[in-house]
Parts: sequence; C-alpha cells; structure tokens
Amino acid sequence: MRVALRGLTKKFGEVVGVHELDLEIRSGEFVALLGPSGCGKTTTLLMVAGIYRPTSGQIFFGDRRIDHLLPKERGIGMVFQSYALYPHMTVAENIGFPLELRRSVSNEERERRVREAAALVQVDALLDRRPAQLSGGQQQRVALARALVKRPDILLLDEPLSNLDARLRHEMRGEIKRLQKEVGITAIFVTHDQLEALTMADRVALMRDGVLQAYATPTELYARPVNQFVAEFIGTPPMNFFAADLAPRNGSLVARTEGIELALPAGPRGAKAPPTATVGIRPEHLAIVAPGQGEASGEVYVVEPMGREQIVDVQVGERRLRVIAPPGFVAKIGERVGLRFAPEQLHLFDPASGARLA
Amino acid sequence: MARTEAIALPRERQGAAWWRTNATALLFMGPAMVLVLVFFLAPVVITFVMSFTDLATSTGLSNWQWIGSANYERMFRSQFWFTILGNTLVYVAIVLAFNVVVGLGVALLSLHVEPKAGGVFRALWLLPRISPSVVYALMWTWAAASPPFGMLNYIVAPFGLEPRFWLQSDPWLIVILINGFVGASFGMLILTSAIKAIPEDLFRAARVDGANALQIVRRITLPLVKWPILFVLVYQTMSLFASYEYILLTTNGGPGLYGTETWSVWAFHTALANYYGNLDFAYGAAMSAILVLLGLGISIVLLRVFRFGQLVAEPRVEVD
Repeated sequence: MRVALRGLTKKFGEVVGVHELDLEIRSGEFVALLGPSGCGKTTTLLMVAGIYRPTSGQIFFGDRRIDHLLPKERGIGMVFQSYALYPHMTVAENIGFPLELRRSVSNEERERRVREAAALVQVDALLDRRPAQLSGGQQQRVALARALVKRPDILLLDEPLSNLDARLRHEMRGEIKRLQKEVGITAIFVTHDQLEALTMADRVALMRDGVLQAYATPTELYARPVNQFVAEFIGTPPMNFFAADLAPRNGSLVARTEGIELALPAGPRGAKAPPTATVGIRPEHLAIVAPGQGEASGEVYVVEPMGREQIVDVQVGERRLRVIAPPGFVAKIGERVGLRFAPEQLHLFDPASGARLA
Repeated sequence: MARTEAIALPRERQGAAWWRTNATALLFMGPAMVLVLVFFLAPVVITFVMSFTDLATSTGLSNWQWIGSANYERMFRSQFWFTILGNTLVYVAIVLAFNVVVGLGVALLSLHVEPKAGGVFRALWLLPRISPSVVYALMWTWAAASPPFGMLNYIVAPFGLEPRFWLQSDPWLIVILINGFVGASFGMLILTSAIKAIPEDLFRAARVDGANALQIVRRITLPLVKWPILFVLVYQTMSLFASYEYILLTTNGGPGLYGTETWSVWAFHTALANYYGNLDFAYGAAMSAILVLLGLGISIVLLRVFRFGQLVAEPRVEVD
C-alpha cells in the first residue's frame, strides 16, 4: 500500500519534533528513516503508527486519509526497539494476541495463522516458551511474527536491530530484507545506523532536527549527497572535508588550500563561482602515492589495518585526511607520502549553507 | 581458596578454617541479624512463651507460674471468641478488598489522566496516611458525630437519608471506611510505581495489536502487576490482622459488647486496657499468638493461590 506524508509536523510544547515532512512511499517499498538521535525519525514512525497525534499535516495510506484513526484501525503491524513482547504470555499467545482481539477470527483460524507466522520467521519450535526464555534474536523473530500475523498493509519497525549483537544484527539485516520482499509488504523502518539503512532500504529518508535532508536510493545518497550533512552522515569512515579557495584558471576552477591544489574538472555551474567552498572527498577516493606526486603531500599520522583494507590518516598541514589503502600498503608513522584525489569524486559544498555546489 | 584448603585440614582445625572463611560475612551481616533477632523474632518467641504462663498485674513479674495451655482453653471456652473471630475475618476481608480495589483503581485512574492532575489526585489520597493517626481518627469521629452535627450527616442529607449517630448506628461502616482510606493509599503507592515501571512500548504494542483501554488493563497491566498486588495483599492482610488503633480510637470495640471488637483489639483490651484493672498479659499473649498463626496461615494460602514459586522461577534462556 502506498503511504504519503503531507506537511507532517509534531511539536512537543515549544519543541519541534518533526517539521513539515513530505514523504511518498511506493507500494511494496522498504524505506528507512535515518538520522542521529533526536532527529524526529521515531516521532515520525509513531505518528504513522497512530501512537502520536500529528500537530498538523496529513497521512495517507493509499487514497485513504488515516491520521485521525486509532492504531488498530490503520492496518499496521509494528516491531518495537525493545520488541515489547508481553512477558506473561507464551510465544504462541504473543503472536496470537492481535487475532484474539478480533472477534471475527475463530480459534482454529488463529492457531493456524499463529503457526504460519511462526514458521515464516522460524520460531515454530518455541511456541510454548515465554519471552524471558528466548534469546534476543528469537525475541526479534517473535516480534516480527506478531506484527505480521494480522496481515497488515504496512509494517513499521523501530530500530529493529539495535538490541542485537553484531553478528546477529548482520544475520537479521538480511533476514528482514528478504522477509519484506517475500511478503511484499510496504515497510518503514527507523534506524540511526547508516549501514543498516543503506544495506536494507530501497530508499532512505535522512532527517536532521525534524527536517528531511534527503530522500533517495542508497546509491544516490552515497554518490551524490545533496548537502554537507548528508555527505558527512553517510559512509564509513566518513568523508573528508576541508575549506578551500576557488580561483579560475584556464576556464576551469582550482581549489587551493595549504598543501593542496586541485583542478576541478567541472566547476560549479552558473555564472559566478563563490570565492570559497568546502571540499569533500571520500577516503576510498584518495590514494597514497609516492612523495611529491599527487595533488597533496603530508605525513602518515596513524595506520589502522582492517583486514580487507587499511585506514590511513595522513596529516596535510593543519588537517588530517583519511585514506583507504590496500592491505599490502606499508608505511611508518611520520613517513612522507603524496595523495592523489580521484578528480570525478570531489564534492563541493557551500561553506555557509552546506548545500551542494557541484 | 580458603575453602578448598579447609577440606584438606585435620578435623579439629576445620572449625577454625570455617571461621576464617566466614568471619567477614558474619561481621557484615551481624548488625542486621541482631536487629531482626531482637525486634522481629524475640517478640514472637516471648509472646508464645508468655502465653503458657499466668503472668498478669496480679502475679507481678515474680509470682507467675507455668500453666500449660490453660490460657488457650480459657480463650476458646469464652462465649465471645467466635463472635470476635467473625468480626476479625469480616473486618480484614472487607477492608482488604477496599484497600486493594480502591488502591488499584486510584493508581489506574491517576495514570490515565494528565500527569500533573494525576499527581495531585494521588497526593490527596496520601493525606490520611501522612496525617497523625489520632488526628485522622478524631476527624472521623467528628465527621460521624451525632446529629445535628457530623459532616457525614450533611453529605447524605441531599440523598434523603436521615441524620444519625453513625458510630452507634453503623459502626462497621465507619471502621471499614477509616481503615480503608488509609490502607488504599498504600496499595495506590505500590501499584502506581509498579504500573509506571511497565515499559511504555508494551502499551503501544497492545494498542497497535488492537486492544482498547479496558483490554489493555485486563490483559497487559493487571497480569504484569500481579506480583505487587500479591505483595500488597499479603502485607495488608498481616497489618490488618494486627491493626487496632483506629478501632480503639473510634468505636473502641463497641457499640455494646464486642460490636466491632476484632481479635487484636480483644488482645489489647485484655493485656493492656482491662476493664477490671487486672492486666492479663499472658492471656493477651495467647490471643496474639493465635493472631500470628492466623496471619501466617492466610499468607501461605495467598502465596499458594498466586503460585509464588512460578513468579520467581529462573528463566530458561538459550542463546542461538
């Protein structure tokens, strides 16, 4: 089912939780609400769920406006960060609870659907356990089964993976993504972890301070961030930034700062280029070359081997640039190196507004 | 380490080793153990021991004798014991029900309204508990005073009820209300914090699952505060069996002969405020001993009913 948020706003007293949020989610799409804590992503989800009442704005499921409806009238299933399993009920009772509250579902049908939902997330062997007798991963699966058992139109997940350990998180990441496609349900999930958002979602809505910053596919978000915040938030290790003066040369632009001189392949479009800009480049788009070569030179500050690659911090004048180097790279701390910038991978941002220049 | 060494030691030295191992623990637990022994266990033991003597004002502390179970025989030969037991059971049952039901009701209501209003509401319900017992009891005696006085008479007048001297005409009503309102605040405090401790997500999940307010209370809230409710029930049962001060200060067991006399008031009257002036300590002690057994028995039954063992059972956790 298609979901549309129009001018959705939530204020807590004077504090603005979410400001004028417009978002369209296509039917069957898996969308991540991403952002640092306090950005309004969970508030947004709770408004979609009907637990918070929007201060203003509208929510549509399909063509139906639903922001005045109770949670139970919205046709949603929800998985909470804490899983919110009822501790006094068995797994079967937990999963069956939403159906039990519906008079129209007979006991036999309920039992059948509980078994179906449990089998879907592979907890059918645990039906007589209580939540306290389950591991975190099993609780997560039960919570998913409970959300899906009533066959909702929309699945909402609030930080579904944050309570799991790293290995299990990876496993459930794939599991939830597969499940969402398998069931074909429109799903919205909230996360503060950009890796989770990028790996799981079809599209990511990145929020900050209650305002939507970007709404795009993971690839677009990564490759062409619309502003400096998006560029900073997406990607590990984060993008390198430095301020540079822009000057024309031979009909093109050159970004210049202490120790670095970059020819910009395609300068900011429009009549006049600003005199300064914030230049951003991702660590994987920098390469370490012999001293004297490349566009910058500096000395190795620290090397962090990661197995598949190494993160090398290079001190260039006053600033430190992070570079991803191949595993074979060997360098001593303090060694002089050159840095080569991948020219097509430079991002320019307005130093004042943070908006993308090119 | 000390423990494993002790096994290898010759027998006569094992005692010393045991002391070395456990001396610190005993030292730390000592003060608390002394308090428990002196103030909790000793009075019970003394009461039971005393109940087999004839200690009274007339014997003094030097001339008392062991008289076996004579006090108990006397008690159950008394033509009043059955009435008083009945009074006690009715008193405890009704006040207990009032305490728990009203306490739970106030807790639930005050948590379902605007938080500030709920706080004020709860503070009002605490007033009986924070006012001195004598003042609180006096206020009730005045409120229930004989016509034309008494606030109760003014309150019921619009409903067409005749003004009356409540303490004489409806002594049980007053006894139950005065104890009920004080006790309700206890249940309210315990259950409010217990309900507040339930994670908000559980209520949200229940709402998404389709439960209405009543279903949430019945299916989520109540099962999750089962243990605090049990605690309030058992604790209030014990304190109600032993309570006597409000009855003493209002009806003093009357009207008439043993109209609202409960077991503890009976024990108090016998041992400490005897009409005849001969304070029958030992006989009163025998009455108290019965009270202790009664309270203990009923608490055990309550724990069974709530399946205490299951509540504190170890969870079986399996890591996948």
